[in-house]
Amino acid sequence: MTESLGLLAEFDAPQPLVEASLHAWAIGYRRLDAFAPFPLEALQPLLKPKASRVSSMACIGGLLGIGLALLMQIGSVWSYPLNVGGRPLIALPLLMVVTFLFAVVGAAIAAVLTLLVSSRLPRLHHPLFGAEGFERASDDGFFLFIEAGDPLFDAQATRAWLAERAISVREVRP
Amino acid sequence: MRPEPLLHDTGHFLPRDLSDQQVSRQVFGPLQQFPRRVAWRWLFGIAITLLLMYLASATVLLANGVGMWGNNQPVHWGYGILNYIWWLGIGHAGTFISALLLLIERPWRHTLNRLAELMTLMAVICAALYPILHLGRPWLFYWILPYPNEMGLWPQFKSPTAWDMFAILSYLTVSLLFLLVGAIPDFATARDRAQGALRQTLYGLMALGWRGSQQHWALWRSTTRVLAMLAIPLVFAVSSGYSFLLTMGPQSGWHSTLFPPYFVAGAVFSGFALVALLAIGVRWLLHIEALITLRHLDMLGRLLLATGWLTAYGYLMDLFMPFYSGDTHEIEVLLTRLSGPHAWSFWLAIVCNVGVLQALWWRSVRQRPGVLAAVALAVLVGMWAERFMLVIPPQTRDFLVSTWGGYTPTIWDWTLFIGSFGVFLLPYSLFLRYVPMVSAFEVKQALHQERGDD
Repeated sequence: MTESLGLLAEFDAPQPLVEASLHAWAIGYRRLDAFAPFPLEALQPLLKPKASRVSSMACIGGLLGIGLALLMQIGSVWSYPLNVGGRPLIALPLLMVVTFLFAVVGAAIAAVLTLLVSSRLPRLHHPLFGAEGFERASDDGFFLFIEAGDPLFDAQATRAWLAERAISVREVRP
Repeated sequence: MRPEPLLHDTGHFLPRDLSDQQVSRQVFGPLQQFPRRVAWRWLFGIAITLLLMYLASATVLLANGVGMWGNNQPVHWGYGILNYIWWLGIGHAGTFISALLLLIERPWRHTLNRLAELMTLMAVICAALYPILHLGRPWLFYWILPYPNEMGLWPQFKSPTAWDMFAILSYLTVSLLFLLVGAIPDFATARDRAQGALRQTLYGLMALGWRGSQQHWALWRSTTRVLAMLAIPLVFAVSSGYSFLLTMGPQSGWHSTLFPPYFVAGAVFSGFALVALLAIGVRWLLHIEALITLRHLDMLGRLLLATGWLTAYGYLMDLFMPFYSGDTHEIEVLLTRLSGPHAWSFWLAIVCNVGVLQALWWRSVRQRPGVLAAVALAVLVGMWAERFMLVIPPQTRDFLVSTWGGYTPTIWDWTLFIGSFGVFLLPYSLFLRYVPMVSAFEVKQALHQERGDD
C-alpha cells in the first residue's frame, strides 16, 4: 500500500470552502491549498507573499529590457558611426521609443516567467488529477487539500475535522 | 422622460441567478456540439476563398514586384501603408477592452475580452504582413532586425521605421502573452470537460497542467494585472509609433503634433466597431445570447459613440490647424483633401464616422443587433476612408507643382486587401470551434461576487 499524500475535501459552494480554509489556517494547518474554478479573494491574504513576487520581477525584467535596448542602440552607433543630419550619435530622445518598448516586453516576459516558475507549471501530471471528481475543480467544484506532510496532520482526526464541514473527503494517493 | 428599465441591472449585465454549470454549458458546449454548423461552414468557406485570393495576390506580387501595386511617383505609400494602419488600429480595441476594463474592474468585460483579444492577435498579424510584402524582397525582411552581419551594419534606431518594427513585435508579444495567460484556466476547464483523448491532450497542453490551486490563482491574478498595466501604454506607444511614420517628415498634411492622439482615437474607434460586429456574430453563431446580452451591445455602442467623438475632434483640429498656421502649402493640401480627386474619401469618412454614428444616441439602435452591426460596418468603412484621406492626398501635392500627380490603386491592391480578411477570418473561424470564446471563470467569479457568496 502506498503512502497517502493527504486528504481532499469537496465543498458545494465557495463560501464553505473559504470558511473551512481560514479555520484550518487558524487552528494551525499550514500545508494546505484550496482549489476553485476562480480566484477566491478571501484566501489571498494567506497566499499573498508569493504573488507579490510577480510585480517585483516585472520591474527587474523592465530594467533589463532598458539596459539591453540602450546597449543595442548605443553599441550600434559605436560600431558603425552614422552621421544623419548632424545629429549627435547618441541622441537619447530618439532612442527612447525602442527603449520603452524593450522595457515593456522585458517586464511582460519576466512576469509570465515568474508565474510559471513560482507555480511550477507547466507540468504534465499531478497526483491530485487522479482524485475522483477533481475535474470539477475547473468547473463548479470547490476543494480543500491538506497535505499529509503537515505537522498537525493525523489521518483520523483531520479526516473527521474535514468530514464535519465538507460534503465528501477522499484520500489522495500518488 | 424616464429611461426604459435596463435588461439586467447587475454589474456583469447577466441574470443574477446564472449558475456555474449554466455558464460552463454555454461556453464549453459549442466546443463539443457546435450549434450553427451550416452557418459556420459558410463562414469557413468564405474565409478559405478570401485566403486563397490573398495567397494568389501575394504570389503575383512576389513574382512581379511592388510595381503590381498602384504606388508610383509621387505616391510611394499606397494601400500597403494605409491598410497596415487600418488593420493595426483595429487591434487596439481588443487590448483596451481586456486591459483597461480589467484594471478599472468592470465585470461586464468578462464576456467580451476573449473574442476581442483574439481579434487583436489576428488584426496585428494582418497588419504586420503588409510592410513585409511592401519590402519588395520579403525574404530579406530580417535585414531590418539588429543581427550581427559581416558588413557590420545595424538598423537606424533613430528612424520611425525601425521604431515601428519594434512596436509591432512588442505589441504582438505582449498581446499573445496576455491572451494565453488569460486563457489558461479556460483551457483547463475545456480539458476537464473534453470527451476524446486527442482533445484532452491538446487542451491539457494548452492548460499547462493548471489545477485551480489558490496559490496559482494569486500568482495568476498578479500576472494578468501586470500584463494589463503594460498593455495599455503599449497601445498608445504603437499607434503613436505609426503616426510618427507620417509626422516625422516635412510633408504638409502629415507634419503635425496632432497625429499621435488622433491616431490613437481613430484606432480604438475602428477597433470597437469590429468588436461590436464580432460580438454580434459570435453571440449568434455560438448561441450565447444569454452571455453576450443586449446590454453588452448597448455598452459597445456607447464606447463607439464616445471614441467616435474623440476622432471627430481630430477631424475638427485637422481642419483648423492649416488655417491657423497660415502656411499656404498646408492649406493647399487641406483643400486637396476636401475637394481634390480623392475628396470622396474625406466626405465618406465624415458621413460614416460623424454622420451615421449619431444613430447610436438612441438606445433602441444600440440594442438592436442588426442596426448596431450596420453602424459598426459603416464605421469600419469610414475609418478605412479616413486612413485613405490621411495617407494618399498629401502625397499627390508635393511642394513643387511639377511633382504633383495622381494615384489609382490597381486590381492587385484590391485583391490583396480583400484577401486579407481571409487571413483574419480563417483562424478566427477555427477559434470559434476550438477556443472557449468567453472567459468562463471570470464570468463565474463575477456572478458569485454579485451574489455575495464567494
